Amino acid sequence: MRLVAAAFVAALALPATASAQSTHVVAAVDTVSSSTWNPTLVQAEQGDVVRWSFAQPGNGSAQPHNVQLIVPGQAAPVPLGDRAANAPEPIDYTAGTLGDFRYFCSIHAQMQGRLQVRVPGTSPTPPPIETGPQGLPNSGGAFGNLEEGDFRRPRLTGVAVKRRGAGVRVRFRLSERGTVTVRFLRRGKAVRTVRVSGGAGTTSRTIRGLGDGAYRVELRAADRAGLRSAKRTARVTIG
Amino acid sequence: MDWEEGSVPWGDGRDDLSRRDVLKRSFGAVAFVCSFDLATQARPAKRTAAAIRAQAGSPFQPFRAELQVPPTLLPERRTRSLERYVLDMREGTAEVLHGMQTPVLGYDGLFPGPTIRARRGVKTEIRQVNAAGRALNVHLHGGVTRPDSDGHPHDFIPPGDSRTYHYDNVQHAATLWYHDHAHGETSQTLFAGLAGFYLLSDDLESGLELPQDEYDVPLMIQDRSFNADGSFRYVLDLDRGFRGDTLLVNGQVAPRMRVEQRLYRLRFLNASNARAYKLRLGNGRPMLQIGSDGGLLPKPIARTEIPMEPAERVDVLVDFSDFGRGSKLVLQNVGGEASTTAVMRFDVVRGGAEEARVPKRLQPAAKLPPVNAERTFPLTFHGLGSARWEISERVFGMDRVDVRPRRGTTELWTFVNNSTRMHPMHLHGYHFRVVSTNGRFPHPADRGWKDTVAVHPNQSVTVRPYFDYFGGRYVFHCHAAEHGDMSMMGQMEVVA
Repeated sequence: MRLVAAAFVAALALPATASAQSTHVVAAVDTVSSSTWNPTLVQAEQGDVVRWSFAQPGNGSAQPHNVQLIVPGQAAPVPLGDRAANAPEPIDYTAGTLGDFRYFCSIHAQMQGRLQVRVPGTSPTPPPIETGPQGLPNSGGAFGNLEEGDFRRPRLTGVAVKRRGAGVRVRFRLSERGTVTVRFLRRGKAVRTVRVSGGAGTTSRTIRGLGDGAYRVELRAADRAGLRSAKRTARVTIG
Repeated sequence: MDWEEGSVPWGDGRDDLSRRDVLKRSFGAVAFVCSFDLATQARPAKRTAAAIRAQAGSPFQPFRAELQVPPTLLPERRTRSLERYVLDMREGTAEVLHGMQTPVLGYDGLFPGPTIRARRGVKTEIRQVNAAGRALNVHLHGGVTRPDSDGHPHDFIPPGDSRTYHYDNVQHAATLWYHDHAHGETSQTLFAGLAGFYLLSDDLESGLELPQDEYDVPLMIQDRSFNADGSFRYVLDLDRGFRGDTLLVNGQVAPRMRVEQRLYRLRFLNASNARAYKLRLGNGRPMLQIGSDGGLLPKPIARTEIPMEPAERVDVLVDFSDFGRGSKLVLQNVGGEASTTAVMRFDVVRGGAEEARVPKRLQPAAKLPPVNAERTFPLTFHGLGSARWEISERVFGMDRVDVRPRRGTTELWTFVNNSTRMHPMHLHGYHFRVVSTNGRFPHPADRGWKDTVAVHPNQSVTVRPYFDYFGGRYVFHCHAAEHGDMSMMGQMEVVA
């Protein structure tokens, strides 16, 4: 149906020039399933005539229409006239007021258009915001999964820190391969940090070279994706 | 958190016309202006490998573009109590679609406009130069501003002229934004690109150790459609407002953002003409909302789904250290069409040492003066003979003042939506608290200061504006841009 409408549009060969006192034709394009105006944007100079035509050649299934014009700054549209089906007489309107108008047919809700009236001799508003001739629809939207990657933190359990001769044995159980950072704090101050790698399961490591004293030991695991476990603590006294 | 998602009646597509409504309204003897575009019905997003491959060459391919953060505007002059800026409102181009240039109207020709960072107690002056060839003005949305700097729709800057806006920055820290407010044309100028962030901070906020600088990210969400040449395609739909088939964040089609494994503050702004969103991170990862339109909430609220109506702002904290390096999370728009589901994607990379934290308390709720007046505003669509949106059965009248609240008082305003569309109702110059929605308490995240509130069809929402600072004439209106333009807007004059 779109193609049929496009063919009508092509056959109409509307005047597109915007010289002084010119006439801008807006044609009703009726197909079996829809009615539209063509064009939907008219850029006219003050004093130009806008002509809505209905039963022009090629518009074989002309419907009854009317033209409502919304004047800038006014909410209520101005009815310019109505035409029965296949009516040959167009509706003319002389653009006397400057500004941005809208026109529509109140019988066919989708028949809407805009009329921009500018000072004679000036160029039309550049169209970053107009409905262009040819849309580029986004028919995509495919985007894979909503989430992918590692969202599971490692679990660090079974933590035991015991004195073993001159050193300290640290034992822990990991839910997955990762690295455990072990910090020894004496009187609230970190004096030694050791990183211990381990696979899933239990790992133990003896750490030597700590001086005598009471230590608070903090352990936290990080998996290969950088996710960290909850912190575990223990106490151990040397000497 | 002490609150459960799903216990509060939140927007779930009630904005949609039923098929019967469409038939009734379009074939009845009612003049009804709408573009009759039924293509916006939701379809599930296609996720097959073939569909993804097929889209690989499309300019709409999601997650191809890297997120751009709008540049921060540098003041032309700065003293201890004043920062002075200059902005040109002019045409420019932006690479919105890959490999194409889209003509835009932008502040300094940029889309989105540059971000202005202001601080409470330091005044801001912005000289806006209108080099756009059409009458424009500037509204600081959410700003407590004097009426002559508010961007009243009839207070415009003629083409070729300039005007200095004065912002006193008397309010608390908040995510504000500035945009055009030209009378009857906001739907076009906003669509063409005239919008930017205005981020206001204060001492209280700075003391909270929230994420800062590159970890404090403004995200402007908009929908657009395109012409074959890459330009924006606007189709007037007075009924539901403009609905585009593509989502942009900071002017990029569904971009991807590299985030470190640490805490981020994300400031969402719905700067769309009329589209509402419902944001969900991944499969429903919690986001901690810390702020709304008017600034910080009393305390953070965990949310898995965040509805955002046009012009609303939501600040959240997301802790990306909960996600492994190399993981990817899509921020999705729940209930969007196939092409408007993906909003953006977060790609998690290794992070440095954490400096920010999640505060338990944010900003204590202020005490309000007693209620001085109660008013009710029915919201209706007028279809007979002409088509327009109305507040209290009236369209905007430039010479008519609808309400005259007293300065220093609060009032109860009830918006009753008797139409089939959602209306985000916005007050200029002042903030309000949402008191109730259909007689029920609002969502906890909506109990802070707001300037825009969603009023869904057949809902009545009561808000309590506080006319605290300046007196004078301001507007209040529906922020679905097409509704506000035609002509769902009233005027208030706050008197001594």
